[in-house]
Amino acid sequence: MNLTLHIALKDIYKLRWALLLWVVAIAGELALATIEATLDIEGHLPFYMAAWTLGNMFIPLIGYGLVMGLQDDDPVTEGDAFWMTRPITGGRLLSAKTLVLCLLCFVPVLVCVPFWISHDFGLALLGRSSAEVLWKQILISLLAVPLAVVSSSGSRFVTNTLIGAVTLLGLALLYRLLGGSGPSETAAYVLVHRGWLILAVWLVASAAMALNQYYRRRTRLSATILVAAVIACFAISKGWYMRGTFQTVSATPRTSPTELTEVTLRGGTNVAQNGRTLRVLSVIPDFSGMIVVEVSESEPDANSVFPWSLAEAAVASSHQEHYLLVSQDDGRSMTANAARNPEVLHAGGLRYFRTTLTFNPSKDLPGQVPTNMTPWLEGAILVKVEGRAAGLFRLKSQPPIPASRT
Amino acid sequence: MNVIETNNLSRRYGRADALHGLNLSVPAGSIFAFIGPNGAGKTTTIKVLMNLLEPSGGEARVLGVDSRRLGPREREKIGYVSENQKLPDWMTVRQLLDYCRPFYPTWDRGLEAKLLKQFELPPDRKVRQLSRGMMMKAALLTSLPYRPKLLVLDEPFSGLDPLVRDEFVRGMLEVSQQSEWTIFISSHDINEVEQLADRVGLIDGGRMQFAEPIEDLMGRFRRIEVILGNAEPELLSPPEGWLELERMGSQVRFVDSRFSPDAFESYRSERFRDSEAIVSPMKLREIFVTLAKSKREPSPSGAS
Repeated sequence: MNLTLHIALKDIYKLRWALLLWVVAIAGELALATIEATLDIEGHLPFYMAAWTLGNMFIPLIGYGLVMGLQDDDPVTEGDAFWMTRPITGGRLLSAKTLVLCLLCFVPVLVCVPFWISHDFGLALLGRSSAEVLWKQILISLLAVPLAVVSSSGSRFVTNTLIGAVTLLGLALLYRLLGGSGPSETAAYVLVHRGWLILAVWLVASAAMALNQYYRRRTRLSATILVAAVIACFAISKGWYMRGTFQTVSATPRTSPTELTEVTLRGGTNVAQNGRTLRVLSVIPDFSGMIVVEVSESEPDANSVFPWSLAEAAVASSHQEHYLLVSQDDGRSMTANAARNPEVLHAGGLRYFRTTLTFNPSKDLPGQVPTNMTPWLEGAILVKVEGRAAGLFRLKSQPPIPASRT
Repeated sequence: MNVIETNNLSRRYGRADALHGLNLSVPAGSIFAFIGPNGAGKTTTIKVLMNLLEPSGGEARVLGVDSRRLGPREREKIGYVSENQKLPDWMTVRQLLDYCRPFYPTWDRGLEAKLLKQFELPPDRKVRQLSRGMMMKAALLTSLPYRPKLLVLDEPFSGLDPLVRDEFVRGMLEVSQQSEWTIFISSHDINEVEQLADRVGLIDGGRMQFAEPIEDLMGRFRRIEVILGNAEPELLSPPEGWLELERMGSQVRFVDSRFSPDAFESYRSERFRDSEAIVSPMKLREIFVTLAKSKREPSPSGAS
């Protein structure tokens, strides 16, 4: 048998109980969410909370811990680990670990696919949903790998994780202190590119650390790379932004708009209506039953037929005077929690508001299948002013899955 | 041919030198006892030899290959057992053997079964549930069935009771009868390896003090007691090699580390006239204690 595969099988066997627990947790979350969707608004909360806890805490935590479990048996820090005294090269061990890590990333997808198929997901939706779940585990693994390769044991990994968490909290605090309390002024595309750049830096640092540890075991060098990567990521997030000096035009409420413009729910979609543009930055459905839609919207000018921006509505929503909702074609509607302090963006000579809208269809539309909510997010984003609904844009998505399947 | 050879090997931890220009040769087919007190540099030397640590200077060659370039081909011929080694303790003994087997083309399943029985290891018990002695035997069990050309043992007997130690040694002798190999065994206690080794080396303070066949060492060390006659002896400039020289009334005692009957007789008749001498062979342990003391005490020429 191929020796790389032999090592990989050993690791899978070692992790078998943790893997089983993980699979059960993922399946449990799907089951809980399904039950939740069949209940009315009063009864669904315990199931929603249980599904949320599983999906957002327990499952990612196991996914994170599995990476250490994978590394723990064959530590690559200096010392006399068992593998180092056997005919096993660092390259072979790295190949085996990479193979298992890739398999780990696919486990949540493999668990979900039968569920998705049973709910009539088409190929495109299957692909997109798989990519979302896969992406989530890849990000978790990317967080865990650098700490795992410099940890000589599981307890050391936990300690390193705590140190990392405290460091991140400290950096977040520093970020706030340096940035002041006002909204940052960063163009939307800069935010997106910045995120990719930070991810790329982290990826390169992780790869460099793994190669260094598996081939040379210079733990101090790896720790230096890690610290440098954290500093670089912080510097990128803090230092790369754009400032603009665009004049704000005061807006006066007018009458409601008479037409809606369709917005395809896909990251990067741009639409214009009555001199205002809206860009969908990202649509992030997750398994907890929530959908996060991040949009940027140009500031309404003085001649706009409807001057209220999503951002203004978000800020004012606590006063119940106007708020955001998504209206389904069949008359049902979903409320949205919007970011209270929308960021002001500048791009292409225009001033934008970046707003994060969080929808919870399983709460507002009980009885629907509560996984991969994108198909349900269809209707108009409305700003309601003193009881009068005023449409801004119409969201266009894939047709919803027939309710009869639930 | 030397299976292990070091040339001015040094290793530094921060500012502290663990090895200072260590020169060591271990001939093929020998059982080499690498002796030294705790902290002398034994484990560091072994870790450098096994490429678990990089040397700060000098060179170490194992099976003719620079230790820094030890690859799977060489490791297939090396067995390593250390008191500090962490085995995959979640495995059972059988799973551990199943895991190790494919890495060694020369693995002999018959020998594996024989040793498993001889060591009386429970195959279905997890390694973490084994006693210390059993764990060391399990480690040895994974290092013998492929008949390594070189077996490196780092303090293998530390903390083992005599019975387990005996089983351990018998396991090694089992392989020894079937193939020619070299054993490099470190210990801080000469008693542990005295009956096993045919060569011995002493390391202290990161420096090699000597390395030679045990037979030669035993032959050149003698404890000598001289009962003086009427003539006053001349002790201010004793010959080189006299250690622990002391005078107690009409007796002079010392250890001659370069003993030769003719040379001693000539010296006695010249410096200790009308005296009688009792010459006794020394045990290996006594020799090492004497040597260790001589490194820490001033020259014996100062003895009265």
